[in-house]
Amino acid sequence: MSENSTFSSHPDTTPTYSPSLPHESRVGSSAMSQDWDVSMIPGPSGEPEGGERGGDTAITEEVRRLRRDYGKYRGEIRRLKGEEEKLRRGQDKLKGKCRRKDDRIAKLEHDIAGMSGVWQEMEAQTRKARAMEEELKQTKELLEARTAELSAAQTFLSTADRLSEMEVLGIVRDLNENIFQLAVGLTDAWEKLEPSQATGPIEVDLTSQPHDSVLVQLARKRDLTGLTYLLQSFLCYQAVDMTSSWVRNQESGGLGSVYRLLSASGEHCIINTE
Amino acid sequence: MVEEITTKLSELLAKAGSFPSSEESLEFVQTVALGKIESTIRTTQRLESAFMVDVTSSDMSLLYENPDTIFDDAKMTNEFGSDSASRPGMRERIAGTTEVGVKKRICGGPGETRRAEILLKPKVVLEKDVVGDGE
Repeated sequence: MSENSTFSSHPDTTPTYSPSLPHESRVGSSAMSQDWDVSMIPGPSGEPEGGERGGDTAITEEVRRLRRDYGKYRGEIRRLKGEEEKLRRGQDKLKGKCRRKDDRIAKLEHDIAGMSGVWQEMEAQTRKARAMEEELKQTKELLEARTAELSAAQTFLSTADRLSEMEVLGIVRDLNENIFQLAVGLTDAWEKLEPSQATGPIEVDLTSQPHDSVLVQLARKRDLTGLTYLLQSFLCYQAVDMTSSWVRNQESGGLGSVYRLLSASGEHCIINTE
Repeated sequence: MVEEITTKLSELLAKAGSFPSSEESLEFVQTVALGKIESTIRTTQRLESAFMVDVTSSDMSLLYENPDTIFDDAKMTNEFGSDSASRPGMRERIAGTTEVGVKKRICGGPGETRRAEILLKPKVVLEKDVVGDGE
């Protein structure tokens, strides 16, 4: 119900109120379409006397009731208006809150976007740190390996000779003497063998076994000097082979890596197997 | 090592026709020369240790000349000395090596090449001295 609600009277009842109605001239004409203001209806003191009293009383009662309703409705309207105003203020307040929340959400979204960028950067930094850590680990392992190799190499590079050349040559002469004694001893013992134990002299043409050395062919002819030289030459070869075996063994293991590095560098003295 | 050298010596003697078989040859070598073989191997091992451990300022190694190599007075010594004069215009062949020699290789300074120096020439016998002109 709105504030402008009106009460329209029926045309047949309006003439009974004509003496006291302030807008009498309007009755039957323009008043027919006018909205009635209930406050303009006169009270019981203005009511007419006579035979129409019973109908008037009803009307009056109806008017009173309408007036009460009107007042009640006006109060209700005022109350609803207040309520509406209150709701409007609440709505405005909520709208303000919503705007603030929206602003807050926008700000948080902006912050999240910023944090996302920071997170990606942190991830990239973490990956980079891990790669550097791995690189450092490999470098440490390489350093340990190189340190071990250097330690082994320093044995060769920094230690002073413990034997002089003369002492080494003395050992070589001992070796040659041993070889000579061994060869002569074998030849002498063989010479003393019974003919049945040893193969007799073999008549060999020196050109018949071209793949054999001259000394082998002489030994076949029971030439004792040739046999001695043959044994000496063989033992000399074995001695050379034995003294260079270390290098061959090291090429396949142990200090092989050190040996190969030093050999390749050309800066250090390593025995040559040639 | 002793067993290896013993076996190789017996095989050599068998190949040279000194024994009917390598088994008899092996028995002969083991009976006659085992002690001397052990002594020779010990000396060789001592020399190997000297080359590898005791001498580090240079690389030392033994020298040996293969049979049929042409004699070179700068690198080897004749077993028979200067009495065995080379025949004019002849390139004398080596019959065998009777004594090993020694050489050392020394590093020069940075950028310099290594140089070798013979400390002891190997002693060799020439074919002409063991065979003779008439054979």
